[in-house]
Amino acid sequence: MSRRDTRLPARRRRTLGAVVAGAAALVLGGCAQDAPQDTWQPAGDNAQKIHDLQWPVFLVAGVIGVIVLAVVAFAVVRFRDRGQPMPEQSHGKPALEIALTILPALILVGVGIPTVSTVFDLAEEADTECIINVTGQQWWWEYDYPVQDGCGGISAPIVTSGQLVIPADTNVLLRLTSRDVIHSFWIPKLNGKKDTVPGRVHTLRMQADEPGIYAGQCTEFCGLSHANMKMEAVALFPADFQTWVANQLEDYQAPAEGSLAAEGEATFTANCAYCHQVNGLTTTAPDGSVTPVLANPDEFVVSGAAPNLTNLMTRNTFAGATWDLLTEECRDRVWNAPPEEFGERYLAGVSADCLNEVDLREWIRNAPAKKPMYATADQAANSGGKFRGMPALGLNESQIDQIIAYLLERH
Amino acid sequence: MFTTGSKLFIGGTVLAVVAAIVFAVSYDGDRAWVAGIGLIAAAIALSFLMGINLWVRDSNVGGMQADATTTSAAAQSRPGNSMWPIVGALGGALVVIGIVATPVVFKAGIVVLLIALFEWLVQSWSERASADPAFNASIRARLMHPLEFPVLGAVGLAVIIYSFSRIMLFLSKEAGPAVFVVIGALITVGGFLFASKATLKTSVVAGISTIAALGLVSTGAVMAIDGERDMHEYPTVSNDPTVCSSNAETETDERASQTVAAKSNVAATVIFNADRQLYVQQIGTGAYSRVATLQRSNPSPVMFRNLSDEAVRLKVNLGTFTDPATGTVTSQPVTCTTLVEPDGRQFLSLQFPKSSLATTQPYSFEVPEVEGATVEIVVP
Ligand code: HEC
Ligand SMILES: [Cu+2]
Repeated sequence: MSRRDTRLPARRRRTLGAVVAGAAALVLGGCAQDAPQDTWQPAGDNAQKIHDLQWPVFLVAGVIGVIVLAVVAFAVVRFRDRGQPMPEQSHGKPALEIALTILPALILVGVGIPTVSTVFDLAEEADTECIINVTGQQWWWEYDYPVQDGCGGISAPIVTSGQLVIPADTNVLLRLTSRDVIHSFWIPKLNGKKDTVPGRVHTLRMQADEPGIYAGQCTEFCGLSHANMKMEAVALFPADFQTWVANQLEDYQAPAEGSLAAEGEATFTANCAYCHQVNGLTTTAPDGSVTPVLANPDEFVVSGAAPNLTNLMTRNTFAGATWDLLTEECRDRVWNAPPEEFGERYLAGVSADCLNEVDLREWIRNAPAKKPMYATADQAANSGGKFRGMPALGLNESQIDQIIAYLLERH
Repeated sequence: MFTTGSKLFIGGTVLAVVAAIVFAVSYDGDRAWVAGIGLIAAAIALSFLMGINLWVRDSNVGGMQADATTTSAAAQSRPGNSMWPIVGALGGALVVIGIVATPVVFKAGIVVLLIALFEWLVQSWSERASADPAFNASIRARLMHPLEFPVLGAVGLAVIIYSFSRIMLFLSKEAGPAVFVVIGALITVGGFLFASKATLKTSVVAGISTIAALGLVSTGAVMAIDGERDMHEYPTVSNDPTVCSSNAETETDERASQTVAAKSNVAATVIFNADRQLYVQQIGTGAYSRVATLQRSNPSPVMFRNLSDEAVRLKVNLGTFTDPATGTVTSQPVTCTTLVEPDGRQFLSLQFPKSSLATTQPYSFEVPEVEGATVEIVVP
C-alpha cells in the first residue's frame, strides 16, 4: 500500500483537525497559571473539605464516564448496521440486572456518606470566632462588623465594601443577605457559594489559612452590572487585623484648613454626602452649631445604600472590586507579597504615589460611563425616582481635584 | 392571475403596511418602535407568503385549469362540519365585551380568537391535503396533537385544582378536612370498582367521570361566587405609643395569635427570660448579648420570645429625632408587639433608614414597665 492511500480524505482531515484543536484548547485552558478564582486550589479549611470531597467524586464519575462512553462507542462501531440479519432478541438476565442495580447503589452510597457529612460540617456554627454581615446590592458588596467580643473584640460597628477583611486562621461566620435582588457570594478558594436573599439571613463559614487576597465574584445573575460585582476576601494575621480594626474606628481627621482637601470636604459634603456616609463628617451652621452629616441613600438609591467612604483608601479596589485604587506596580507588590509581609503592605493602604487616579477620576466624572448602571434621571423615573448605582454628577475638573485630595486622606 | 390564497396575503400585506404607516404618523410614544418593528415584520412575512403562494399557484392545480378545481382528487371529499367559525365568533364577542367591561375578558377573547384562527387554518389545510379523509385526519393529528393534548391537559388540571381550592376556601376550617376525607375515599373506591370491573363499558366510565367533573366544576363555581369563608387577620404590631408603653391588655391583644408561622429565618431573637431580663441572640452565635447590631436600610426580621411567667410586649424605640436648630424633639417613633403570653412568641420586621448617629436617644428594645429590661440596637 502506498503512503497516500492511508491518508484521510481532505474534508475528514480538516474536521479532525478542528476537533483536536478545540479539545486541546479546552484541556490547556485548565492549566491557566495564576487563576485567582480556582476551587481546585483551596486556601482554607472549608474549601479544603469541599476539595477533599470533589476530587474523589470527580475521579469516580470520570472513570465511570469513560467506561460507559467507551462501551457505547464500541457497540456503535462494532454492531453498526451493515445489513446483517437481526440477532436473536432475548429478554432479562436477572443475575446481571441485580448486579447492575446493586453496584451503582453501592457507589452512590460510597459517594453519599462523605457528601452528607461534608454538608453538615460546612453548616457548623458552634465554633464561630468572628461574625461579619455581608449585604449584596446592585452591584457591590457591603460588609459590616457588628459590635462583638469575637474577631478579637469590636467596640463599634465598622462598615466597608468591596474587600472583606478577615483575621487569618480564624473561623469567621458570614451572615449573608441582600437589599434588592438575589445575589450569590463566592470566594472559590475559601468556600462554596451561597445565595444572598432579601429578607433572609444565610450563614457561610469563611476561613483562610494564610494572609493574602482571595478573589471572588457574584454568582447569581443580578442585573446590568452582574459581571462587575466582584469581591475580595483579605486575610490578615490576627494582630494585623486588630490594627485594621483600630484604624477603621479612628476618629475623623478633618483636612488641614485652607488645603485642597478642605475644599474637597465642602465639595464632598455638597455633592456626595447625601448618598455616601463618611463617619465623623460634620457641618457648621452659620450660627456656629455643629451637626453630623448623615447620608440618606434611602431617598436616592433603590437598594437604600451606597458604600461607606470613611476609610476608602484602606481598601485596594472600588466599585464592586472592579477597579484598582492602586497603580499596577503597587498592586502587584500587595498581591504578590509573601504571607509574612502581606499584612504590612496591605495596611499601608493607598498613598498618593500609589493612587490609580485615572480610574478613580473617571468614576467620579461619570460613573455610569465606566460601569453599566441604571442611573440616569430618565431611568430613575422608571424606578420610583431612585437610581440603581451611582449617577453622573456633572462635576468640573477642579472639583474632582478637590475630591480626590479629600478622598486620599480617608485612611 | 392572482390565486385565491395569494389574494388573502396581498390583502394582509397591504393592511400591515397601512397600519405601520398610520401608527408611525399618529403615535410617538416611548415604545413606538416595538409595535413598528412588529408591523413591518408582519408585512414582510405576509408578502413572503404571498410570493410563495403565487409561485406554487396555491400548491393547487394549475390556476388556469378551471375545471380541475372541481375534478381534482382533493376536491372530491366534501369538508366536514367545523366548530371553529362559531368558536371564533365567541372570541370576537368576548373581545367586544371585554373592551367595554374588563380587560381580562378582552384578553381571553384574544386568546380564543387566536386559537380558533389557528385551528381553522390547520383544519382547512388538512382537509384539502389529499382525497383520503383518513389520511387527512392523520396528518392533522400528527401536527396538532402534540400541541393540543398538553394544553388541554394543563387547562383541565388547572380547572380541577381551582375548583377544589374554591371548595376548600368556602368550607369552614373544621368541615374542610372531613369533606375531603370523604371525597378522597369516594375517588379511591370508585377507582377500585372501575379497575375490578374490567367488563364495564367505556361509555359508563366516561359518563360517571363526566358527571363527577361537572359536579366538581359547578360546585367550585357556585362556591367561588359565594365567596370564601371569613378569614380574620388580627394585627400583631402596633405603632401607638400609649399601647406600646404598657403591658395592659387591649382588644387587639386578646385576638392576636401567639404562634408564629414565619418561615423566614431571623436576624435576631429577643428573649425576655424568667428573671425578667432582656437579651438578644443573633443568628450565627448562641451568645446572649445586651447589644444588637442591626442593618441600616434593610428589613431585619426579629423574633420576640417571652420565657417569663407574665404577659408582656416588646417595644422598639425607633429613635428620637430632634430639630438641630431648636433642639426640640420632632419625632419619636415606636413599634411594639401585641401582648405575648408566657411561652409565646411574636414576629417583628424592623427597618432603620438612618444610622445610630442620627438619633439622640439610642435605638433600643425594651419591655415596658420592667426596670432595666432594655437591649441597645446599634445601626451602623
Ligand atoms: C445618588 C447617590 C450617590 C451619589 C450622589 C454619589 N454616589 Fe458614589 N456611589 C453610589 C453607589 C450606589 C455606589 C456603588 C456603585 C457600584 O459599585 O456599583 C457608589 C460608589 C462610589 C465609589 C466606590 C466605593 C467603593 O468602595 O466601591 C466611590 C469612590 C464613590 N462612589 C465616590 C463618590 C463621590 C466622590 C461622589 C460625589 C462627587 C459620589 N460618589 C456621589 C451612589 C452615589
Ligand atoms: Cu450580584
